[in-house]
Parts: sequence; C-alpha cells; structure tokens
Amino acid sequence: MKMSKLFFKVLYTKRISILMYVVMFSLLFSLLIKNAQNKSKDVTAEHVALAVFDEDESELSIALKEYLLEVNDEVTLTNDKKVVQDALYNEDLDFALWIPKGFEESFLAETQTNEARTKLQSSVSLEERYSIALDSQISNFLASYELHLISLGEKNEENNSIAVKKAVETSTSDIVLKAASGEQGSSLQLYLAYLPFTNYIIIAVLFLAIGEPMEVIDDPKVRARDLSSGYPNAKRNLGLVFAASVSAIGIWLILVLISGIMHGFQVFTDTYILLGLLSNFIHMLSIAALVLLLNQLVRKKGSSSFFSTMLSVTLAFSSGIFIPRTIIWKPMLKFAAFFPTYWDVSNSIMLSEAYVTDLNYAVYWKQVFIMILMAAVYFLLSIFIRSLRMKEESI
Amino acid sequence: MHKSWLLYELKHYLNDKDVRIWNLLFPFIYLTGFFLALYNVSNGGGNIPFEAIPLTIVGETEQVQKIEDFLFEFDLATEISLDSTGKKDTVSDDTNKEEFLIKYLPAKDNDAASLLEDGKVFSVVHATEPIELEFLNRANELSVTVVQEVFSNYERVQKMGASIGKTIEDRAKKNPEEAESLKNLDFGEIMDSPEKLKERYLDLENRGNAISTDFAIYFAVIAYIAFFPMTAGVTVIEEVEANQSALGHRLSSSPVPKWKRFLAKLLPLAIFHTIITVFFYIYVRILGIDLGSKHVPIVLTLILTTFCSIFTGTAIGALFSNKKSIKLGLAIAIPLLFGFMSRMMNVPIDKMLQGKADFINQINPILQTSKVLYKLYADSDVSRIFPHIITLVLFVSVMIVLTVIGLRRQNYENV
Repeated sequence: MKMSKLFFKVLYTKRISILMYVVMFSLLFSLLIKNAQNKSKDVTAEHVALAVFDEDESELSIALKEYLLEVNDEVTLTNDKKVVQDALYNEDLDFALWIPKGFEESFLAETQTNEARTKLQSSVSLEERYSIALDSQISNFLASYELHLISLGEKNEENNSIAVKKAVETSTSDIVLKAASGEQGSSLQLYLAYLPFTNYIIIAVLFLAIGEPMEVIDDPKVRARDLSSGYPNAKRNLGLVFAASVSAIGIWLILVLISGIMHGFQVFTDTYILLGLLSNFIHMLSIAALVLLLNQLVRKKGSSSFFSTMLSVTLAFSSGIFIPRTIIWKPMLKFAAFFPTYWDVSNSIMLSEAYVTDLNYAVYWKQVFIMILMAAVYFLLSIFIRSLRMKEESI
Repeated sequence: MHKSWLLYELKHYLNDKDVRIWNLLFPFIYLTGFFLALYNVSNGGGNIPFEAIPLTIVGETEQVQKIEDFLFEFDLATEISLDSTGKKDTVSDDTNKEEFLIKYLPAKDNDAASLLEDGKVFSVVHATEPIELEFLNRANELSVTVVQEVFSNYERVQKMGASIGKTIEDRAKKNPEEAESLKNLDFGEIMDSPEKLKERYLDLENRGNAISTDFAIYFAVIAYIAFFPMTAGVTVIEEVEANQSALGHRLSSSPVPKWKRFLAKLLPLAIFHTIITVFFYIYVRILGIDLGSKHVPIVLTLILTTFCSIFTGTAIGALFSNKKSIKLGLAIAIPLLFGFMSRMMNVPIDKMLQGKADFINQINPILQTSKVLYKLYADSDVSRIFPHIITLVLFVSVMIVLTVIGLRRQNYENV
C-alpha cells in the first residue's frame, strides 16, 4: 500500500499533462468521427464536387455544363489553375473541367481528325472513382450529341441545336437505388472507427502515467531508503504493479466514459462494440506491460516522455490508425505487427466490417490471444530484467 | 570576446541531456519514423487505385442477357466465380481483372440476397425498367456512384440507340433517296469502347492531377519539427528571471541589465536552432522527400517558424513565471495540438474548422508553414506564400510583445 500511495502521489503531480492529453485528444477524435457521420439512413451515391469553366459559351458547352452540374455538386471557383489545384489539394474539389473556345466549332467542322479536335481539359483528384464517374458522363453526353449530329446529316446550326437537345434528352437516367433490409450499423460502425484513435492516446498517456512515476520510485536513493527500512522488496514490487494497473485501468475507463458521452451510452449494448472494447482493454493491458518493460530496459530520466511521443506516433501511423493500411510501407506494417496496437486495430476493422458480413470469431479471438501473449511476455521480461538489476545492484 | 561568449552559452545549453535528446536527436528520429511509415507517399503521392466492384444481376433472362452483353461488349466487366469454399473469388478467364470496373458473379434469384448479405457482392442489380440497384446500408458512397454510373450508362445507351434509330427513320421518310445510304451510316469510333470515347473528347495526356493530400502529412511533420524547440525559449527566460532558477537569481545581482542578459541568452540559442533547422532540411533531402526545388524560401520559412517557436517559449516562460509544470506542459502540448490541427495525424481538422472557426487556422503557425511548403512545392509563383509569411511574422511579433510584457511585469515584482 505504501508503494501504491507513493505512486499515486507522483501521478497526481502529472495530472495536468495527462488530463490535457486525454480530454483534448479524445474530444478532437470524437468530433472528427461524428463529423463524418452520414445523416441519411438510405443508400446514397456520393456526388462529385465539380467546377466547370466554359470558355466556349456555345449551345453545346452550355448544355454540357448544365447537364453535368445537375447530376454533380457545383463548386464555384475563379478560373485560375492555381486556385483549382489548391481546391483539389484541400479536397474541396474533385474534378475541374475546362471547355475551351472553339469546342462546338470543332464538331461542326467539315473535316476533322481526332488529333485536330479541340478536347476538354481537366484536373482531377487522385481518387480514381471520381474521374471514372465524370469521364463516363462527359463521354456519353458528347457521344450522343455526335451520333445525333451524324444521323441528322448536314452539319448546320439547326441540326446542331437538334443534336444538343437529343443529347440532353438521352442523357437522363432513372436508376433507382435501394437499401437491402437489414441492421443499420452506421452509428455503431462510427464508434468502432473511433476506438483505434484511443490506442494512440493510451500509448502516449501510459508512458506518462506509469513510466514517469516508476522513474521516481526506482530512483536508487528512494529504493535504498525503502529497502534499508526493512520494507520487503516483493511487497514493494507488488505495490508498484498494483498501482500501475489501477492507473492504466482508470485512464482507460475515463476514455470509455468520454466516448460514451460523445457517442451515447446505448452503443455499449451492442455485441460488436463490447467485443471491440474487450480487445481495446486487452490492448491497454499489453501497452501497460510494455511500458513496464521499457522502463526496466531504459532506466534514464526523461526516457518515458521520449517513448510517449515517439512510440505513440510511430505505432499510430504504422498500425493504420491515422492512415489507411493500403498506403503504409509493407516492412513498416510488419514491424507494427510486433506490437499489440496492430492487432487491436485489425480487430476494430474486422468488427466494423462485421455489420456487412459475418464476424470471423476465430480470427478475432486469435488476435486477442496474440495481445494477451504479448502482455504476458512483456510483463515476464520486465520482472526478469528487474530482478537481474536488483541482483547486480545488491552486489 | 563575442566568440567565447557564444561558445560558452552553446556549451552550457548542450550540457543538458534533455536538450541533446529533444532538440538535437528527436527531430531526426521523428522524421525518420514518419518517412518509414509513409515511404510510399514520399514523392507527392500517387493515384488511389480503383478496385473492381463485385456484383450480380437478377431478373428476366432476356433482360439479364442484354445487360451482360453490354458489360462485356464494352469491356466494363469480367466474370468471376466463387471457389468450392464459397469464400474466395476467382477469375474465370485469363484477362487481367484490374482493368475492369465490375467483377460479375452470375447468380440465381434466390442466391442473390445471401450473396449480398455475406458480402460476396457489393450490389444486386435488378434488371427491371428502370434498373434497380440494391446495396447494403452503409455501402461506400463513392463505389455506389461508380456502379450507378455504369448502369446509367447502360440506360443512356438504350435511349440513345432508340433516339438515333428514330432520327434515321424520320430522315429516311423525309428523303427516301437517302434511305439506302442511311442504313450504312458510318459512326466511326464513336461506337467503340468507353476508353476510346474518353480519349476522343478529353485531353488525358495533359490532365492535371492533384497533389496527394497524404503528402500534407509530410508538410505538417516538417513544420512541426521547425516549431518544436519551444523549450529553448522557456529555458532562456528561466535563466534570466531571478525567481525562476538559481542561475537567474545569481545573475540578477550582476550590473548587466535584464534586457542585455535576455538577448545574450537568446542570441546563441537562436543561432544554434537556425543551424539545426538547416541541417534538418538537408536531412529531409537526403531521405529523398521531395519538397520541390525552391530551397532558399523553404529554409527561410522553416527558420521563421523556429523563431515563432522560440518566442512562444519566451512568452510562456515570461507569463507563467512560477508554474514550471504548466510551462512544460504547454511547451509540449502547443506544438502537438497545432501539428494535429495541421493534418499531421492525417486528420482534416483544419477543414472542419473552415467556415466555423477559421481564425484558429489563421493563428496556427504549423498550418501556415505547411501551406507555404505546399505552395512552394506546387507552384512557380513564390508570391503566393506572402500572406502566410505575413501571418508568421505577425505571430512572432505578438509573442515578442507578450514576452516583453511578462518580463516588464517581473521588474516591478519582488524577487
């Protein structure tokens, strides 16, 4: 108890930085996830954010622009390539189209080759699905116009107007989108999307909440004072482990409480959410054990804050918390697999997809077991290294 | 004398192990960690590849056949089947399935619902008039857009065919002498594949591509490192103020005015961190992270950001004189928070704040620096960075004013 009391006394002095981390980041992450929530309960297609710059101002270009802006979301920008590039970079725009001067004329010219034709200029987002959708709409509209123009015979203004009208008429679509009956998992999936972010907070905070008090308590002078008083070493170690566990669990509960306040406590009645929380809890215990291990390995003052910053960011990026796993360098992903964060994020992804497909319980429990194994290994190693050091120092 | 004074202050500063770890080593280790994780993004990013979408079609045989013919004739789909376990899809022919938009899994009516529920297909297409596309709730909206576009295309082609047929018929009735030639009207390559159509109307060779938003992470990380050494500013004030450290107390009894002592402490640190910033930029280039070729503006911007950080530290040190834990907490939390709000964690907080609390974006020096780095990378026109540079200069000016206020306040308090 004496050790635990000392541990909590030291922890109390770190309360401001710990609370700052916990409250600030969990609120920010929650706000971000809630902002991404789709309010609609129906299936919806994403509209492409489109800017059209009509430099031709002909009947064809006006009709094309009107058609495209009817089926997509218009973004109003000045006709400046730099402004367009900034908008694409900031994801305010997905597709920019320039209809150059002489565009309609090039269709009406008597002889033309494909190379000589005036073509549409564009700038697009790197997300291919946007360009797939827009390219299809543009090509089909113009193909319809051109086919009608050819079938009308002479390329004159009257036939041009008819061809434009026909292109507009034939470009409409009556496709119906409908949702299959089944559970709506949207808010629950959002909660599961939020859970991995708490891993970042847990890693950063546990190094401050456990590592730093341990640095103080394991100071040779403090230890010598305790041991010379006759306080048993085993009781001392047990007190430290107890205090570290209580701190870790307490911080985890605060994070869960904040998440409950932000997302609603009704999410905790869902099975997949409870499984996600279980996995997150095991992850927290593994990280606490890792903190104990690193504290024994690197017994230098200030090492805990170093690990807190470095490890939290490195693991958050390499495990796929902040960026999708598809763009992470594969060797880095393999490195991340040596830490429990990778497996907890895998569980969160799997549980989120379980609202669409069935959950593979075997894989889920395997990944939980890997984290438990990691926790056990870290913990046993930390005890082993600690006892080795004790022997060295007593010699 | 000046040289020995500079060297002395530098040695004294670097004597502290925490300074060596946090202000010397940490920036390089931090960037290396990011570089390894984002190795694929280090050259401005690339296309986010499209993955073919699996679906099945149900309905009357004739209608289903028409849609299948359309998908295969225009190379929009490749056929797949499930293996014996029903879990993995296999391509039924040798075609590279990555070229197609759709992976078509033939199924019967009573199979379709279970295929959708089990996630084997993304959509069930009902070959009715009009066509109905069935998805599960929370289907990815962008993929819904693509599927919707493919089948809208099918409907348009049907309408177009009927309309052109009628146009030719009307023309033949009007001019019976043309009737024979109208039967063999040459539409050329307009009836070709969607890919050829795209090339016909769009200049794909000169198509502009966005700079990957994931590259913003690099800009934010580099800006964060430039804004990191806030503790240097806090240290300067601690060693000047009598009530903040034993050294400050001892030096306050010297006849040298506080302002002189302040500048004497500040200048060597400022020079040191300027040199570190330059070395950091060289390290960025060694790693192969492409920030463009405007080296001088980039380095000057990063140095300005470092000065913003140091003076923020002096302001914190001067205003929170006796509260060491708060000073340290702020010196760590402020760069982290600003970095986080500049997409360092790939979280678009700045976009969320746009229009609602844009002033936070305006006062965020890491975001401003990140935007400078982006504009220097993307653009030949250097003048576009001036508004952000002015913001950074204003920021550092405000911090200098706050430092002066804090230091002057101490002048009139008891030591």
